[in-house]
Amino acid sequence: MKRGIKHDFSLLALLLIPVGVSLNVVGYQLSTILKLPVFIDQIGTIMVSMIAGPWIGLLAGLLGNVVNGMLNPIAIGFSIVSVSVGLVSGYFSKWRFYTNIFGIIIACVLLTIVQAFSAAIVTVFLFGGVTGAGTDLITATFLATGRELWNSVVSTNLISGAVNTIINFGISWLIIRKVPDRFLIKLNYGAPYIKKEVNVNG
Amino acid sequence: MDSRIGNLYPSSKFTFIILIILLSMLVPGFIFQYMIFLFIFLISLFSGTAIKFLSTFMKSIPILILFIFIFQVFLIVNEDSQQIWAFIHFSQIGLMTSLTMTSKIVAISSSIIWFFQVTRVKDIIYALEQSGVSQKVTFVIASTIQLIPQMLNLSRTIADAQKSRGIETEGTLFVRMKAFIPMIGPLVLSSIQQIEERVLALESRAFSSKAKKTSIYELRKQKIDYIIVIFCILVLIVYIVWRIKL
Amino acid sequence: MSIISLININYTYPLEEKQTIHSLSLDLEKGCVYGLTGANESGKTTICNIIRGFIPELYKGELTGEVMIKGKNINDYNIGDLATIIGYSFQNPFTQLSGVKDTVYEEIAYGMENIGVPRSKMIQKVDEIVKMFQLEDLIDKNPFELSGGQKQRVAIASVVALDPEIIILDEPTSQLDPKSTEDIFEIIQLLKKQGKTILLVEHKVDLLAAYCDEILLISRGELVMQGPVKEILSNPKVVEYGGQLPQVALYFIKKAKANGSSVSQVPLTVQEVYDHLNKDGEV
Repeated sequence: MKRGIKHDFSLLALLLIPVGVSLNVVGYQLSTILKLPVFIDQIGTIMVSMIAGPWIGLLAGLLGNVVNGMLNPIAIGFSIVSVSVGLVSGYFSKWRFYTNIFGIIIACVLLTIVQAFSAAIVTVFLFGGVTGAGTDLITATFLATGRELWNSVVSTNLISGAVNTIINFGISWLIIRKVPDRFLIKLNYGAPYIKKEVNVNG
Repeated sequence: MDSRIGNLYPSSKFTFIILIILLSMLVPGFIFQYMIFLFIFLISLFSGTAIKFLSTFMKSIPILILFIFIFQVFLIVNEDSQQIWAFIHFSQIGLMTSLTMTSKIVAISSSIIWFFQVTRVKDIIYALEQSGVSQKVTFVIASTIQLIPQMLNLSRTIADAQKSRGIETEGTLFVRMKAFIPMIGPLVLSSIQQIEERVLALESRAFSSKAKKTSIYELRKQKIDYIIVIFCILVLIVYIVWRIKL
Repeated sequence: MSIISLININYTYPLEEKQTIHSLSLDLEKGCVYGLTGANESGKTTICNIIRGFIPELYKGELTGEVMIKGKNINDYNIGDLATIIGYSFQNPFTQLSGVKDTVYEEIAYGMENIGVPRSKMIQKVDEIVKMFQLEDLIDKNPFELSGGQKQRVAIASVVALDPEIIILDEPTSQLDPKSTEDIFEIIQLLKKQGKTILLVEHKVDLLAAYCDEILLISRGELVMQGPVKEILSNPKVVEYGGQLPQVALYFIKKAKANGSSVSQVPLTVQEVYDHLNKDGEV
């Protein structure tokens, strides 16, 4: 199968982007309704990147932040975070990290690091170490203990990033297991998640 | 959006906010940048979106700014920091950093908020198409904008249905976490089935045709649109020349 | 020359062992209305997708045999341009909208935009279609806010706007109420008058009897019967193959059998029943 930036944008894959973005939005809303302490707002990006690859994942991440940015421009600044998450997670899927437990652990650790550092760069350089969300309190605590700004922000993001990655990935993974094989087979990166080799009698 | 400003061509408004963003980054200090906020507010009044503008702005920006001041002035230890109490310090440098940083944030975010409030997404998509952006890109943007409200509605329906079937949404953190899957799972699976069918429907409308696309929706550039763009470019050039000469 | 020919088609969906379509051949003539019927899962939709080229392009899987559209192999067409030759509308009214247009008017124009029809021509055509489908009251509405029946009408209108010679309608009325169903069949008649070739997948045999020229009966992936409506829908074998016969036909077949007379003349529609009874002096 041909894969890569020239081949990944099938109509089916394109249609997954709006679904992914909407899922991010719905996930965010649900986390508020259910009063969860973390915002589960990257399910769509991760799910889409897993089955449709890095480039579609990247676009889903970017578009999600731009759409949020229409109401809250700060989100546009953080686009780089979801873009990196979508891209990197898509490559992990391409390299079949998500088919075994060790791969999943490594992928989650690396995704956390990618997410933490990209978020820290934006937070420190654009917003002086602040995001306007509850996690700022953790950063403030680190600062109060005498740590430097960069150090504090990275630490905060490693903590919140780990929680976010595990939850977002976990939910995406559970959902993908329920996606019908006939759908997965139409996607360039769906093959690793197909449940049966051959399905007798449909 | 039916105001005069709402009916301008999107790229005119876009050029205008690009000018504002560039100037906020180039002009030293913070007074100019804070004035931009007032300026945008005035244009919002003129565009008939002042209330919407203020409410959107207030929802996200002030808290961020407040935190930046707290962090930079009182928490981060700079060379000139003087201890006030325990871990709380005061830093003049931090104050200056906060002012320049927050003034830029205020200027840029208010112009972005204003832009999206006075420009129809439909017009943005039309302008993107006309400027030669790939049909796949404009398609994805348009369909995302249409899908989000529908998905939100659908998720509310599913949430209500699952609640009535006895899925608990109150209680310990673990209970609430567990409620997430039955709420979001059906949503994903139904949308996936829908997009399988939509692929066929779109192909039946010649989505993959190699022809150059046309548009039945039309938005014309007017004289004022050209004037705005030229004016913005001139302002930028004049400012840069003036700065270099200084 | 037939407008559509399938020659010895075999098809297996990916990940499945069992073949869905077995050595199927058929010819469809220009300007006729064909009713494609058969039990659920017998392969009707699969056949439509093969004719339109969605199989194997979008579904993958193994396809052998030849599909000829207007005398040319389907592989020689671009999947996007085929939309202007074969219009295809589906069962589910909710997934047939483009999802990128916020008025019915623009929704109808979407296909023409994709093939690059100049704006003035497009406006002309949309107006014509709106009139033909009686959508005047809906043009400014958001397509998502329409009822199921209205959506289905808009969907078919949007496909017809591309002016295809062949129109495939896959169970267009299965999710609609009787009034909307009637509207759709009126449209089918209009399209027939315009000389379109129509392939209609439908369970409602009474409607097939009233509107079709020929019936194609599919059973387990094979074309088991093909012929004029009168011939097929009065043949009790249809039921053996999992198809249905019109209620009136069943009654008159029973009666004919009791009398020992031929079943080939049994009436299929209300009008025919009326004529039939009239002839026998029973009315």
